[in-house]
Amino acid sequence: MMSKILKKQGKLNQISATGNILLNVLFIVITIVCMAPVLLVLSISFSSEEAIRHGGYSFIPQELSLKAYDYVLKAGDAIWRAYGVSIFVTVVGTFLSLAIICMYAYPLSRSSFKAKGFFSFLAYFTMIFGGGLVPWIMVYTRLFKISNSIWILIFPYLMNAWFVMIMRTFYKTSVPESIIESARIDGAGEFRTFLVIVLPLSKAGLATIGLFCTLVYWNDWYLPLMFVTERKFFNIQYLMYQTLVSIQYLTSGSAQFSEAAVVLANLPTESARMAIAIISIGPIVLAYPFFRKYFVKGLTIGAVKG
Amino acid sequence: MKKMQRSLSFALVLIMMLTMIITGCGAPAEPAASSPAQSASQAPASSQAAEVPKEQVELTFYCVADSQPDMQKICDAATEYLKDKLNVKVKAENFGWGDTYTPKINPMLASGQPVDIVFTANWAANYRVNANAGYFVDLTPYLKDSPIREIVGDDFLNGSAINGKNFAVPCNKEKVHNWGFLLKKDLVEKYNVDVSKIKKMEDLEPYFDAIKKGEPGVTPLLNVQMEGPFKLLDWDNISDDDIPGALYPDNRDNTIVNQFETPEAIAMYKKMREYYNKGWIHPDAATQDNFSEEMKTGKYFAVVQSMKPGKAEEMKLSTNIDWVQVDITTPVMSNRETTGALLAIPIGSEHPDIAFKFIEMLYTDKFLKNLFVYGIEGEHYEKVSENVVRLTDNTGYRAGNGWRFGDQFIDYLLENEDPDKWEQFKAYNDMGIPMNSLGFAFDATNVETEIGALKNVVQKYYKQLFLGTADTDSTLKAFSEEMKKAGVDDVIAEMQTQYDEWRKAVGK
Amino acid sequence: MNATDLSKPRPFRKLLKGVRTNIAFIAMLLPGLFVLLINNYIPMFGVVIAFKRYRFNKDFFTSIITSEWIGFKNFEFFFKTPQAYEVTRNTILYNLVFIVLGVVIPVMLAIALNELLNKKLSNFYQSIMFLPYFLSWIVVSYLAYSMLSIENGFINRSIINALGLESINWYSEPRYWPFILTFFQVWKYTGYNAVVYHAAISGIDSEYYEAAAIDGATKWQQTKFITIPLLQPVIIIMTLLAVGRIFNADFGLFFNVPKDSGALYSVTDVIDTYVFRALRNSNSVGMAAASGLYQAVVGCITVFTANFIVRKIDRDKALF
Repeated sequence: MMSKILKKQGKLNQISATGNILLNVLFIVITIVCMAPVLLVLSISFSSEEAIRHGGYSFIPQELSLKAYDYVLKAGDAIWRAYGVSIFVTVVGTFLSLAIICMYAYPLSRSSFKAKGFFSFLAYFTMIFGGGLVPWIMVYTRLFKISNSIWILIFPYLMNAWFVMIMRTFYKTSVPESIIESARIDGAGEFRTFLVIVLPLSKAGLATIGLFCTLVYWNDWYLPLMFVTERKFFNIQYLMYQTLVSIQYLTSGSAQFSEAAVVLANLPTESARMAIAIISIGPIVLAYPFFRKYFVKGLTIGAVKG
Repeated sequence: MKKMQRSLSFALVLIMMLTMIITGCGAPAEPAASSPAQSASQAPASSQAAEVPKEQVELTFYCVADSQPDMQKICDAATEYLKDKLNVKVKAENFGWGDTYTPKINPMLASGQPVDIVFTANWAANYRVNANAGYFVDLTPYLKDSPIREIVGDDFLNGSAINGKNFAVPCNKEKVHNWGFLLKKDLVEKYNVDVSKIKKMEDLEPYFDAIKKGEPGVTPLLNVQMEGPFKLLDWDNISDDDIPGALYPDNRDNTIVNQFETPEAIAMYKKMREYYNKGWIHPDAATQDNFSEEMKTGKYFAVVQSMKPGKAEEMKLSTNIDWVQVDITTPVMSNRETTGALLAIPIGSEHPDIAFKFIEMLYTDKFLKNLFVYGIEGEHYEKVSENVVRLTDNTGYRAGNGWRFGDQFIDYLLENEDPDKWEQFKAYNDMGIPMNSLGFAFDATNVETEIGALKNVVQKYYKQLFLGTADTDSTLKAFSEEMKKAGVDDVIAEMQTQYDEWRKAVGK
Repeated sequence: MNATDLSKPRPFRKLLKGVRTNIAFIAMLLPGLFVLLINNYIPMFGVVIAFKRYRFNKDFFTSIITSEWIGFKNFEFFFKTPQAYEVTRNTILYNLVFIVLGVVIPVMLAIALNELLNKKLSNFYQSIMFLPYFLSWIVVSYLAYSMLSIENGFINRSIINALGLESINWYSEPRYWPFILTFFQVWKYTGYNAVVYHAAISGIDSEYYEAAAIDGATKWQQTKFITIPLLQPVIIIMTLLAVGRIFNADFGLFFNVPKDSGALYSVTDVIDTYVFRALRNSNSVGMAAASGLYQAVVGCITVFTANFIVRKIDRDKALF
């Protein structure tokens, strides 16, 4: 009541107009710093090779050119394939890991589950202790033999102890035990309660973890670096990594480029690399607005109140 | 917290127990495990049996060379061709040269990935270190009655063996090497470079200067990672290229030195620093990591390469650029050749027998060999006559470099190549001065960790020195200190001891 | 109850009973347990490689078992190299800086965001600040390269050369890199952290502030006596988690952004990149395993110590 009156009364606890302008200036500067490198890459991707050679990389393309994109789109096969791998891995991986993490976190949030300490620890321990690189690689290559397959890009990231912790806290705070209790009295089993009551109440948490998982999968280049040698399993990030080393990776398997004798010297190598970077950023930035609404809420409850 | 503590102690005890069970008890029972490649001890299935395996197996074959767009087509063609011979599904891939190839292969070997054939050499995938560590199948029993023995010759087979065991098969190619420059032909003509007058690197300096001034966008000297003028010193390396320990290439004595600290090397570092400051070396040299890719851009005038007859023509195939060849050092016959290009079967391979047969075919089967060198007939090349081919406009497969595997002498010749190429190879082979150390193979077992540490140190410093991107004196000082701490003296002493013993044994 | 049941020791029966009553929960845990087992727990047996002369032999377990014991030789060797000190120092110092900056800057920004009069603008700033968090380290390395490349880089060509100075060879001058790496780390994560803290601040009941304002408290006093104390639990948790990982460097940052330039190793090499290179360039599995185990054990001790200290100060705020 008090607060409402105060708000109506005016600007008792607001900063001054000058202060507000100063803060806005500060944030405009920060926004520019955040955007600048991305804009630079964007600008390079639209510059002609000639202009780059003369003026170096700059924020405003001296000479506008779509050659890089033209080249990248024509060189398509490798890129589209990598794009497809990234999308598949991201969609399937996010779905599976979200399911696994949510299911793992739920019992840990229930006070009636006696062994929750032990199972929390099993997850948490993996965050602080690991067996090392070589054994980890060997488990996948020798024991399970799934290197060079699409599953190696998905499996290792299915569980994430940190996300489990966030999700557990989220359940604890946003799903009242009393609702679960009443569902039990109505005769619903644990699974049914989980699916019908708990999950719908945890949309914000799911969205948060979902976004995290999406980022993990989309931005991954480490797994292909460690495990993948066959080109058909390269994802877009790893293709970018390879492109830094060799621009030829782009044209791999492309009909247009093997028919005509293309001298490497004539390719828009500098701008093409940047064009791929821009193309790879696209989907993840576009996905953000859809998650945003839930995301802040999920993060608030999951990470903050824990 | 109590509960947590209990869980923790429980988990720890569990891990300890399991670890004890699987490791502690097993260890003493199998002491033989430390000898290299013991798993290859099971005798190979008789290599004579020519029957085709009923089930098609996958055969992975990883090699150096730039990644090729049409690799899949080549694999399909090979699979088709081998259907009634080995019945394998070929999965071949190239991972670039040297420093891009090695990091890809090393973890595969260590983790025992089921790879069937890999390229290895003293300059790629650390042949000696990896063979010593037991990552390759011992091929000695396979080679006993193999046609490879006759094709390659005992000198090469013995030269590449370690403690009398062949862990890889050397390719049949020139047996001698020298170093020199490839100069871009159009620039040679434009700047009237008198190739016959160029006897040492310094003779090129006026041209470097002129090109730097007259050709914006062109860097006079390509110098990437280990591929650069340092090679002109031609050290007779005892182990791999990035391990200290070498002899002078002129048989002057039998003292092993740390080649990175010799006066010659220091002079070279200073020279490179000078070139770098003059802008004759690419400013981004320190972060460039694909030598061959840079070479193909055509934005360089001079490139250091190991030479042989017809090198310029051979390089035209993989770079699509016309080159002029300038020899600098004298041809020598050293361990660099015997371990210069080898195929090995990693211990993780599930079909070593079939893999070996495949390797054998690269020596004996003209079709298969040329398929991996030139690509598919009618698509990537056309036949001009029985042994001469012309490349088509299709650049989908330009691997070339027939010296990487098998017998190079069964390769087709290109139109622009000298029809006498193989004859010249033989003459060239006779020209080489044999090094004192020819046939000596260093066994790194006793200093394995030191060598691992030294490699890390060399990796950290060599670029600044070889490429001249940092101040020579201070870098060299730090480099020497760290090498010392990493045990360079022990390594060189071990090399010297082994080398002296070997000399006594063979009577040199 | 039959005879076999009776013969079983009590704890086992208790366990069985526990499993039976919680069968649904256990079923929910199973997929996660399966992944943890394969991805984390089975590889843990590999720590013994650190005490062995590793030789690959047939498969995972056989290789571990049959390799020869050499005691602490791998460790001895790792610690004898100057890199052991260097990479440890780099890892810890960078992480300390990252932890401090990862709290101070985002908390300040979050407070400022909260004070902005126009909430729409505040949301807009947050969205933009969040952008770097979405980019992979590969993309960031492209961004860094476009700034720093000596041939074409923006800083050299458009700033330094324009001022008439000599180009700086960024990728071989170690002295700049502590700042460059810190910049990109802060650049990537500040927005994310600011949003988290901002969310926490907006969760604080506004009546606290209003009451304080009526009592005549200035903005600074409000921040000091209301915001910061109420943010404390969040800050402690975030910091604790970071401290627990103080021996684990952000591999993507240190591997990609400096482009693996040897000249920079003295200031850019961290334990993770060292282990990785030991494996890739020289195949020294034993040393890689030893340095990896050293990292894991010391990290483990750190997190338990940190947690212990926090528990001493305030029981409720400890992680476990």
